[in-house]
This record gives sequence, structure tokens and C-alpha cells, in this order.
Amino acid sequence: MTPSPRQNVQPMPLAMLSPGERARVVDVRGGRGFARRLTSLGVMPGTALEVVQNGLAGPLIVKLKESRLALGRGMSHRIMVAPGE
Amino acid sequence: MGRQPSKSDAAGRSGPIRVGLAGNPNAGKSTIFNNLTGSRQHVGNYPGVTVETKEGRFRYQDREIQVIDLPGTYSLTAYSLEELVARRFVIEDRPDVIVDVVDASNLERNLYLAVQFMELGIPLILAFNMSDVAKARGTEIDIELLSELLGVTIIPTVGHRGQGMDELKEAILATALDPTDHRPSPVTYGDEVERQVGRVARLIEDDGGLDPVIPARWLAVKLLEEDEEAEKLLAGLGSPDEISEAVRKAAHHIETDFGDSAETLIADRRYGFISGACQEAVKSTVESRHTMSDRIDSVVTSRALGIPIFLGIMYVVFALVFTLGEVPMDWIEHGVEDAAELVAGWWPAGTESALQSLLVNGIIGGVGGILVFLPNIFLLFLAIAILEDSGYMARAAFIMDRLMHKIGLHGRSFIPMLIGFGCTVPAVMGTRTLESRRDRLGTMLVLPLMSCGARLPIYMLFIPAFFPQAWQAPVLWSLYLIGIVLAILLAKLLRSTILKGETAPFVMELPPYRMPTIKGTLMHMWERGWMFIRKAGTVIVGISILLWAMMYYPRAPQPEAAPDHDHAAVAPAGCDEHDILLRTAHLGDFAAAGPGQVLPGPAMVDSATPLGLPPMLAHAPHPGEGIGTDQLHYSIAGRLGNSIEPVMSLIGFDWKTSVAMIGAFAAKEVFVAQLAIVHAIETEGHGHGHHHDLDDHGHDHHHDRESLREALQHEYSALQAFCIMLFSLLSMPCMVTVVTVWKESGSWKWAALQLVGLTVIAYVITFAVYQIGQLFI
Repeated sequence: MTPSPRQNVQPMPLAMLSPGERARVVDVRGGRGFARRLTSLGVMPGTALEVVQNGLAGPLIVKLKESRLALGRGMSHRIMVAPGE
Repeated sequence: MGRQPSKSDAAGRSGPIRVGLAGNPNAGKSTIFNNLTGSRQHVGNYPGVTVETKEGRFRYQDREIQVIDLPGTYSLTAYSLEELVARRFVIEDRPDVIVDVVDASNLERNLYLAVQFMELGIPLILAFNMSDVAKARGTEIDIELLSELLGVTIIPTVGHRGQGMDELKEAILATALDPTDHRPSPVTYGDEVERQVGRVARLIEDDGGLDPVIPARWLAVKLLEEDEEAEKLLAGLGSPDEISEAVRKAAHHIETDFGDSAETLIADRRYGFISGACQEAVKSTVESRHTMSDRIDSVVTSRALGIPIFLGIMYVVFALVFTLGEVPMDWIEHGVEDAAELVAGWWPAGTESALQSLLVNGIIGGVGGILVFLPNIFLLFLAIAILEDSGYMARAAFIMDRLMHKIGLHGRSFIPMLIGFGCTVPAVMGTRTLESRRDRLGTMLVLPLMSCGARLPIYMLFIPAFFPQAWQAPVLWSLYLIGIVLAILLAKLLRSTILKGETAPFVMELPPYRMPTIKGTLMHMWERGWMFIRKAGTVIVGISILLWAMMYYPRAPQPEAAPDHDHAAVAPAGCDEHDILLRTAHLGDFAAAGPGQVLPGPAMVDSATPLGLPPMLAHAPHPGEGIGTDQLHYSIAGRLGNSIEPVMSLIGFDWKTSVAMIGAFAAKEVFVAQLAIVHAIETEGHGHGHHHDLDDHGHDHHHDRESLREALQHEYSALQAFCIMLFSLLSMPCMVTVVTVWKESGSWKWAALQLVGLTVIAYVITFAVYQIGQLFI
């Protein structure tokens, strides 16, 4: 896992990405339990992901490495990402 | 790190080798477990928690090997109950070997758990499952090299084809017999973190108070991660203050040096360690971006089609459960009936005793009431197993999360609620898929408001009797709707009061779609079904006996039974009433069996069939059936009904409906049977002189129903009828539900809260409806 390019890019909540967009996780905001949970699923600062499904409401689906994760909308607002790549 | 020989090293012992089977959810762990242990397994719960663990055994080269199937986890933090259970098992029970089932097609994420076992210094074997999928996706794993890098034996397996099992068994034996040779390599976290970890670990070692099976280094890492369980361990040491001071300093160092919390950094380094090993040993040709699974998902989880497909699948599930269940249900019903007759036959006419009634009405009736549900329950569990094993369940939760989130519940709460329309009991058990206890309790507590199948006979009795054709469907619909709306409101209320707290974050893996194996699905079905039988069965016998006693005692003065009829003296409280019961409610075909035959095995709900009710409503005898009118009136239950009448009259009930409501606690549809018993007085005088009709077996189901409906029409208004149905829907759930909630929630208090809470709510609402309704009618 390579260190994340934290500089230069304006981080935004994962929830704001459209399907097909790729991004790298910059920060996980919220409780420690939440962060731990995400870590054990492979989502942590530096992780590259791609949004597979995202509508205006409800959960979204992201793709990382070989996993597909469903994330609640609330959660996806707490995961800050740097879009691109 | 110098771990001392484990207290359970298997080499010198003759007892079974103990293997803990761990792995990520969806890694194919249960298939491996089934392959290893075959049918030699049993399901159990950890004391105090409702996390399922299974245990099985097999023999290999004359050694008995015991396999404990741990709950599927992604990690060994203390995030969820499952993780806690898995971790405690490793630390406290210290198995000889851990077999970690790894999804080889999703290697890095799966190895995160493996690394945490390595940190614990426990002899470890990695089963690289689904290695065929990995290969098909273009992933080449150099098993030998990776094994060397991690210091862990790796066995490639293909679970559903049973490949690699012998090698796995061989590895288990070898590792257990020579654990020191199979210690995993230490996980390294980079120089600076290592320095801090080392510092803390030395302090812990010097302290000497730590259980020698736990590596000091592991505790040091966990303390740096601010792990709550580790902090508890620390409190048990000689100098906890000194060590925690050192931890604080170390954490501070790391944070100032790296700008990240120690926890984040350590997790990052773990993945770094994994990634490093994988870069050397794994060659991935292409990242398969459009796997079959993704293609299915682009349809199944899409906005436009997601919900229609979901509803379609649910419809199929229901159709399957309730139509296929019909036939075995019939068999069971007849079996119970035969058993009742057989047992009742032990007492020649005239020698009936309380013991006979206890056996026939109390025990066989009560147990039969459960047994008859088994086909439905097993089929439902089968359907759930197929949905889960195929990977669809996670998608269903995804689709419903938006809706469920609004009412403060989790996406996965939806499935149990849907099941609740069939039967509340499996629905309550279905809440197991919910991770957060609050979500689980919230769902469980409102489940009885989903109008279950057993309430239908009540609606079907009253609605045609009191409402004109055009109104019947809307009335039925309104009852279902009231239940749903109330469940939503109540869930919201619970989640903002006693079950207040964050909804568990909705983070869920969507596993790749897979073809479920027959063996695997059947085993899943059996495990859950058996658990239901064991858990519910025992307590229900007790409650059935209690309900029976409430209707059997005290004894009414024996009415002079017509001595010239063979079967006249059979029923415990005089058969006259019993006959009426049969006639009025038409309890199956007992009557046709003629003189000499004994008690009514058959199901009350047979009476429903002429009305075209679903077969799922068919039901075995219940406590209290076969107890006549006079007796019921005289019994504790009858007296109770009388005594609560003043209160119940405010919501439109009289003593008869009140008594029936008490009986309905056994099972909701018993309400109809009970009404038939009490109303027999009105319709049939005192019930003498009707045996001849029985002997003619001139039975007309329809006529029986109609006569009960006529009786009801005489006594109640449409408003009362509606209130009776409403109260049946909302008030106390049936005893099987109460017991299941008790068992599943781990405390009788939740069951009591539900029982009392729902009854109070039901009373208040029905009171309002009745009182306000009277102003208009």
C-alpha cells in the first residue's frame, strides 16, 4: 500500500462521487469503531476505490481491489476522498 | 518474542486436537467446515451471546480432531460480538491450531485477519479457498514463497469440490504435533513503530503478570491501538499505571512523527506487510473489471430494477415456503392426531383422568402446535440459506437500506419483517443477521405487528360476518396497514428512546455471486431448524401445560354424560360440549371416525379451508382444545376472562371474547376455536342430544362456519368485530414468539417488555377506536 497523495487535492465526501468515478481515501471521519470496521474491510487512508452505484439517496456501492462494498449514505459522507486516478 | 510452550500443545496429549476455524464472512468457511467434519457436528451458542458457533469432529491418522467453527470476521478488533467471540476463543481457549480460511480471489483483504492471528503467535494454517476462482481471474500465487514469507503453512483448497481436504488435515496434524516448528513470522511495523512497540513489550515482559500464552508484543500493539479488551488485560498486571504511561508516550511519539494515530499507522503497516508479501509472491495479470458478478449487480442493484426483482424473489420465497409446506404439514398433523388418539386410547372409556387430558391436550397438543410449523420453518430457512449462500441477501439489504434507514433500522431488518407476515417465530430468529444489538432488538420488538398467518383465520371469521362484500378487502387491508404503520412508528420510538444510539453503520461486503451447493444449503437449513426445535420446544411444553391447567382446573361439576353413547364419556369435561365444539367449529374429521374414537387431534384451522384460507394456517391441536364449554367457563381461564370483562368491555369485548383472547396466547388462531367453544352455549342450548348428528357425519363445514358467524352477528356490532380483530393483531404475541424473543434476546425482560408493551398499546388504540367509533355509530 503506497502512502496517499494528501497534498494538492481538495478532499470531498465519497457520497458526492458519481458512478464510475475513482478516488483515493484521504480521511475517515467518525467514531473509532467505524474506522476500525472500515480498516478491516480494507478501506483506510490511501485506499483506491471506484464508485459503482450511487443515486441521490440510499447506500452506494464501491469497488476496491477485488471487493464490492455497500456503504450507507451517512457513512459515505464521513469518508473523505481525493478524486482522480 | 519468545512465547513459551502453549499449555495445550497437542504433541504429548491423548485428548483431541483442537482446531479453531476462522475466516472472513463469505470466504467459504462453512463449506470447509462441513467437508472436514461431515455430519459430526453440532450448533451451539457461546454462553451469554447469541453468536452461533459450531463444533465438529473428525479422525485423521488415529487422532481425534475437534474443529470449532468461529464466527466469520474481518478482523480481531473488538468491533462486533463475532470478533470478540473469535478473539476470546483464541486467547482464552488457546486452540492447538487455527485454520484461517482465506478467499484467495480477494487476497489482501483476507490476509488482514491472518496477520492478526500471526501477531498472536498461534500456530496457523491458511486455507487458500476458491483458488480456482483466483486462477480464473488471472491471479498466480506462488504458494511456496508466500508460505515462506509469512512463516505459515498454506493449503490451496476448493471448498465446494472438496479439493485440498486431505492436505489440510495432514497440515493440521503436523502443525499440532510440532507447534514450535510452525510459528508464524513476526509481523513488522517499520522501524519507528517497532521501537515503540518493543519498549512497551519489554515493560510488559518485565512485569511478568501476563499469562504466558499471550505474547507481550501483541499486548503492546493492542494497547497502542487503544483496544478496550487489551486495556482490561493490562488492568490485571502488576504495574498497569507504569505501562499505560509508557503506552501514552509511545503513542504520542508515533503521532508527532507521522501525523497519524498509532492505530491508523499500525493498520496501515499491517496492510503494508501483506502488500509487501503479495507483491513478491502474487502475480496478477489483469484486474478483472467486469466479472460476472458485476454484470449481475448492474441489473439486480440498479435503481430501476432493484426493487421489482427483489419483490419478485420474495414472492417466490413465500410461494415456496407455504405451498411446499402444505404436504408435510398434513403428515405431521395426522401424526399428532394419531399420537393423541393412541395415548387417549390407553384409558378405556370411563376411566379418563387428568393425566390423560394432560398428555393429550396439554403435551401432545402443545408440542404438536410447534411441530406443525416445522415444514414452514425449515423451508423458510432453506430459502434464506439459498439467498445467503448465493450472495443475494447482501443485495437485498442494500436495496432496502434506504427505506429501513428512515425508520431507524438497518437494511437487513427488512428480511425478518417480511418473514413476519408468514410467521413471527422464524422472523425473530432471522434477526440474527443483524450485527448491532440495538438494531436487532428494535426489529425483534416490532415484528409481531407484521400480521402473521395465524391471525388470518380470525379476520376470515369476522370480516364476512360483519362487513358487506365491498368493504371486506379494504377492512382486511386496513388491518395489515395499521400493523405496518404502527411497527414503523414503534421502531422509530424505540430507536430514539430505550434503544437509542447510532444505527450500526451500514457497511457490508457484497460477496461475488455463487452457485449455492446442495449440501451446504441443506446443512444451513438443518442447523437453524434444529436450533429452533431445541430452543423453542423445551419452554413451550411448559407453557402448554400451564395453559392446559388453566382451562382444566378447577374441575367443573361433571354434567350427566349420556351413558348410552360410547364416546360420550371420553372428553374430560363431558363430551357434550366437546361434540358441540366439533360441530360448531368443525374440528376436522374426527366426528366421522364414529363412536369409540377419542379426542380431537385435528386442527381447528381445518375450518378455515372452506373459506379458501392458505394451507399454512392448518394447525395441530392446542392446549385447551377438547375441553368443553362448562369446564372452560368454570376454569381459571374462564374466571380470568370473567374478571377482566369490565376492563375489556371498554374496548368492545365480552367475557367470551376475553376468554378466547387468553387461549389465543397459545397460538393466535386458537382464538377462533375458543370462540366456537364458548358460543356453543348460545347456539346449541346446553349441548345435549346432538350426538346423533355426529354419528350421521352429516358435516357441512360451511354450515358450521355460518352458524358461528350468525351467533357472532347476534352478539356483536361491526365496530366490536373490528375492535376484536384489531386487538388480536396488536396485542400480546403468541407464546412461541414470546419464548423465541426471550431466547434470542438473551433476557426474559425484552420478551416481557414486548408482551406488556404491545398489549398496552393494543388496549389504548382499541379503546380509542371503540369509544370514538361509538360516537358515530
